[in-house]
Amino acid sequence: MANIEVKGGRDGLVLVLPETGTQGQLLASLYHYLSTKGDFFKGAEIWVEIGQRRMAEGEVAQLRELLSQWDVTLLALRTADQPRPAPALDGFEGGNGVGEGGTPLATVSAESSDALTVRRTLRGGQIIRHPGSVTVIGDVNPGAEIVAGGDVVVWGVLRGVVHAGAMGDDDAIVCALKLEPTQLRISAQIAISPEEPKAKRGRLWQRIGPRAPECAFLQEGRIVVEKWSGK
Amino acid sequence: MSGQVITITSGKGGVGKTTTTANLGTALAMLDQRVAVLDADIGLRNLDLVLGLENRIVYDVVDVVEGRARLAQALVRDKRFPELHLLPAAQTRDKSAVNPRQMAQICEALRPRYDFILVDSPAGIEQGFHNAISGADRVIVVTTPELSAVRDADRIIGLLEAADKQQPSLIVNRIKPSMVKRQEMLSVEDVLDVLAIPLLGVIPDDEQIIIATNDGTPVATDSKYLSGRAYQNIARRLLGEEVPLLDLRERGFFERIFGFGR
Repeated sequence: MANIEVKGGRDGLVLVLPETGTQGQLLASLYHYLSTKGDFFKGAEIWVEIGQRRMAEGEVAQLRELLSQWDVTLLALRTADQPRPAPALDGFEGGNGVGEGGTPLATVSAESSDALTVRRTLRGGQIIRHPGSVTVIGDVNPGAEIVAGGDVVVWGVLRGVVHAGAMGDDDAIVCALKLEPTQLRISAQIAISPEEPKAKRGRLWQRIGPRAPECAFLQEGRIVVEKWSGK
Repeated sequence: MSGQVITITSGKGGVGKTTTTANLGTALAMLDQRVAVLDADIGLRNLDLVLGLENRIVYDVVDVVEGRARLAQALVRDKRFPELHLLPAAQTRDKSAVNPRQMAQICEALRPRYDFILVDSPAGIEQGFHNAISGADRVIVVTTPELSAVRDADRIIGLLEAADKQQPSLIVNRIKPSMVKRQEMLSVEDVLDVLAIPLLGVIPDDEQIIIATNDGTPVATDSKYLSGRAYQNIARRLLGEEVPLLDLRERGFFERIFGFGR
């Protein structure tokens, strides 16, 4: 059976499906593929690349139906002769790695590249979803979200929601100059920042002088946060 | 010389967009600028009330867009400052009565006749917001020192970036220095820490604003009030002057009695 792979493109996630095989095989392998990828695709809006394959309207509907079981929205199909067709949905406003109005939030140096670098502050409502590792040079504000297949490194303050190793990689890590996420997930584990002491409630974020960069990782199935030691 | 179009927006409702628009318009007119204030909150018009002009409206922006009135007919002259004009929103209809292109055309048509065109944006991120920013040269984001308002402002700044607008500047409204001192309220620094855009001004929380709004006389007309002076300062900053931030500390009992510290 031909392989299915996911790529992080300039305008968001691209799922590459095999060009050969029957529709039945395609759906079966896609079902299998999605069941092994944890929460990575949950809520995603994706492009699907089918190369030379031809799909009838009913087959596209089946594909969309299958994707919707994982809460995935099909933006459009891309075929070999028509790499950027019109969106499959009306009123598409962007989502994964795409700013409102279709402005890419991030640039990928090459489509095959594993790492994604975002040179800006991610603001509330902006989502980056990428199969590899993600580096942000800037802050990740509350209400912003990063879902990465690999590591997440933030050269700035991380206050939003971050999910590293979202396809089930237990070795993924999250590092930030200031690690104050609303929620931090690694692989299938979820952690929230400890509640601030009562005196500090009502403050947006505790400002306790210069803080060392921190790194979060999984240890015996639990999320552990450690001061960055550069080891 | 052609005028500058400035949109005042916030995301969250009730943080003081309309009050800010009315007061900046008034303060700029006091500095001998020709100003048009445009209410883009179609269906929920308010700017006329804050300026005390509600009984002078004949035509509104929807009448202009749909050809029932010429732009000049719809503009209402302020009762205090003849160089301040209001283009009212319609009280019937809703945001879909006007589209962003039409709004930009209205701003363009006003540009040659005014130094400043201030657009009062509705709350939200839907069409009304897109209408309001479509013709803007620059955008002012208003927020209050509350988590919800700051988060909405952050979202708005992201949307402005996506719309390729110049980096907006920030007004922090309704600061209570005593609460900030007791660490019960976010400070201006806390807000700037998250939003990271240039600060245009800080307006203290002031009961006089409620009185002024009910009366239809913007506080900016009266330098006796700290909030009025804060708006006047912002107007001067819009004209390119460097004006330091006001000292908003409330003076204690002894300072008030004996005039200490000032």
